[in-house]
Amino acid sequence: MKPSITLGQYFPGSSLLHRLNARFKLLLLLLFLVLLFLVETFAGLGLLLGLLLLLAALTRIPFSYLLRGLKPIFYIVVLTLIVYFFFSRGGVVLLRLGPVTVESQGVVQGLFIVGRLVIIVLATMLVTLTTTPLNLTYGLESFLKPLRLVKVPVAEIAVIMTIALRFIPTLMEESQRIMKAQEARGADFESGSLWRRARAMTPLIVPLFVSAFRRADELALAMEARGYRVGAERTRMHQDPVTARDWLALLFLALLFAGIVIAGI
Amino acid sequence: MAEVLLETKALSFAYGEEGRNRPALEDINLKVLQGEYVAIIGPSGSGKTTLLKHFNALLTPCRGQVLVKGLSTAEKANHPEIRRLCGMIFQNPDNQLVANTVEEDVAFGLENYRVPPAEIRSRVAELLKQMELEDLARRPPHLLSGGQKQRVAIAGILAMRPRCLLMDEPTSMLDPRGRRELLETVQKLNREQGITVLHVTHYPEEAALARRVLVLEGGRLAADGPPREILTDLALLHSLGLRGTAAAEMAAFLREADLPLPPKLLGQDELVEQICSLLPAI
Repeated sequence: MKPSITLGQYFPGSSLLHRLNARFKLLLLLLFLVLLFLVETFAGLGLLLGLLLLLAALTRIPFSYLLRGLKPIFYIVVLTLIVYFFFSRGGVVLLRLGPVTVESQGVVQGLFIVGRLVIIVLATMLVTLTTTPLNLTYGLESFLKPLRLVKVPVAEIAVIMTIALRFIPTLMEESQRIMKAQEARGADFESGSLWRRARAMTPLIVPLFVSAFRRADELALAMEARGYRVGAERTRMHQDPVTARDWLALLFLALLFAGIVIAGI
Repeated sequence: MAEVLLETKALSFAYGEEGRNRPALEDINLKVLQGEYVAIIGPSGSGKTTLLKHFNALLTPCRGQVLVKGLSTAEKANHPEIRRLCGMIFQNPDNQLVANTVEEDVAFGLENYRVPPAEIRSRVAELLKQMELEDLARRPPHLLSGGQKQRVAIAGILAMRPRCLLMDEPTSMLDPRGRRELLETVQKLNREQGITVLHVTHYPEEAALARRVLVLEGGRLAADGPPREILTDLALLHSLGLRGTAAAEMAAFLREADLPLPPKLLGQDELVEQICSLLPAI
């Protein structure tokens, strides 16, 4: 069982998206998503999708890799389509199956919503795939900085995120190990009803939690021993400089935004 | 004469709120000089780790004093400098690496001390080279071997230019090769850079690498002397449930079988040499 989390995994490269500043990338993403919700026609949707696909092609991330990232939303897509196809009324009746009808407006709306959904996930994925976890964390941190005014410990949250990312693989390895240990003693994680399988997880979850807490304890000690103090200012080894490229990208998206709003597509 | 780096004066400590529990350390008086290599041995629960944590100000005394280069650990304002001077290596290499790549982890301490980014980068590069970790600079910690993880941890400590390395059973979770590499690294640091080492260990062979051995028992200092005296004193060690070095144990066994071996044999090579010199006589 290989862990397959595409979302949030960095894909090394040196494309335009890779070289943008993380904070700008997040801002661009936000703008892009707002724009996505302002667009009301398939033409507009197509334009945005085309832009994304162009950027994706520049990153040289294999297309299959992107498709794999879309897999988690597959069921949501199917469910959305079913709901819209069968339960939305209006327009021409396309298909009649006894009491159930599929009407044209529902089909159009369903496809539109699904298009939006795919674009949201694709855009977010492009940002996380082209930004190192570290820069992403820093980007989020500086993005959330205004919250410091209302006493939200933004820097500490960033450290927590870094540590969480660092320990995901470690804890995964650990859960595999515990699973094997429990299987060796006769535990069965794979057969029986969903309820039985969920209950069978208890001997996995409990030791995993105990060990995670112990790790947290030791890690906190090690961090303190290395001079970490909550609330203290820190410097950074790697900086993520803002360049003219970032401003140009922002300007481009702003123009596109204005264009789409004015054209009303 | 080297200056005193670490000093405890009538140090007593107990865990729990206001130290209500049984004391973990009682009346410890100790001086460690700059550049010494000190091993700390003792049965489980004898206070080895507790003592070590006092020199990094992770714990502060209930009574008495701990001084690091003259700075008292009781003063909170001294803690950052004390922690820079005395870096700590823990038992589990996995739970002391914070960052997502080797180089960022080496930089972690420097970032805490607000060293400027350019300086951090040059110091990290220097340390990675010194610890032979250059090829692994961008590797995430979970793809490293145990020995590599401990080397990263040491690099992270050395980046802060400390005077002392506090090691809490650093080899107990390593394979033989990782263990040998780590011990060689530490000995080299002690020899070439004069870094003071305090090394808590369960292995008599590791303690034998030190120039001084402290024995703790029930929170008290039971013995303090060179390895040749302490690690061959089987009467003392056995009474505490500890062992001497394999050579010392073997020599004692052979002496009982009336082999006229000289006292205080510490290492395997010495033992072999002595036995060989006896061979013609048999």
